[in-house]
Amino acid sequence: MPDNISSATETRLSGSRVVTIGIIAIVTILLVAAVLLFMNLPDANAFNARVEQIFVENNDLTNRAEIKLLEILAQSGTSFSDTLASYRTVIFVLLVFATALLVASLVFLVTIIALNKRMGEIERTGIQVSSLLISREENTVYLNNMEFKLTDAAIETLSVLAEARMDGDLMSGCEIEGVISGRPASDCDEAAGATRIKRLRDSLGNQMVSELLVKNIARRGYMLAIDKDVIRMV
Amino acid sequence: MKKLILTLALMAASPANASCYADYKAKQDNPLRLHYGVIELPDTACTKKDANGQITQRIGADGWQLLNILSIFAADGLEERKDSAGQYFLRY
Repeated sequence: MPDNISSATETRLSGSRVVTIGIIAIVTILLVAAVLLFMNLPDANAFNARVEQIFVENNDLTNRAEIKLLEILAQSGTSFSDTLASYRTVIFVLLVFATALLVASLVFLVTIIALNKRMGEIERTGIQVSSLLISREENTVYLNNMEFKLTDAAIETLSVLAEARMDGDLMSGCEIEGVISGRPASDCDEAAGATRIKRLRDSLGNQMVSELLVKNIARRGYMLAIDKDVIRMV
Repeated sequence: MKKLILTLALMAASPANASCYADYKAKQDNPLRLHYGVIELPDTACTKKDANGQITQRIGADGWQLLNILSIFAADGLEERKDSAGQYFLRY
């Protein structure tokens, strides 16, 4: 039989695996980016090499003044390379920031997903009824996918209440008794209907849950305290 | 007349076996410094190929690095290059 129970620990385990893989991926990508960036930044000597090349390639450049000018050009290039070094630092700091932010957002994302899952589970197992499935053949009702065996009479009462709920009606004890027994409601006893309600609540067992599920509105009647959309009949 | 005296003076100053001269370009790194210079060569090094080693060695003593040799010329080419070479005129 397949295990259909997912526990919070399981979610946390797979979550931490996702976080580990994600962090490794982020750090790797940013490291590669950093390496590429630093490799492609112009070398501090690029300017000097260029000036030297100009000097060698032009045979006319022999005048002292011209040579001095070339040297000054090269020096300004060298001071620019100092600026480049500071750019490198800035870029590195930004990359570190980017890594930290990405890691943080990944952790938050995984946390949110895990919390959502847990919220879903809490909703399903809590008092809030998110699905009510009545199976008349098996005399079973599924509340939030939890199975309850009921007696014929109790199933009958629950079905009547569910049908009334879907129509948005309230039913008095007389009416319930009337629908189930097939007699006109005016001939029926209010007490008989109340007894059926009591039996339904008893067979559902948990007093509190059934009290919340089968609500009595004073002097008007009984109704299922659930949303219409969650009722399904088999 | 002046030119003749200068040439004579130069010839007197230079070693007897100097039969050719070369002009070259050299550099120093960190910070980049460049110079254009004229150098005298012995008979045995009057081609660019032979001069290369000689010049590299002689200017290398001061930390200069030879970039290229522009030309090999005779004594009559000295005058026109003197001004450009400045302090590196026949220095090494």
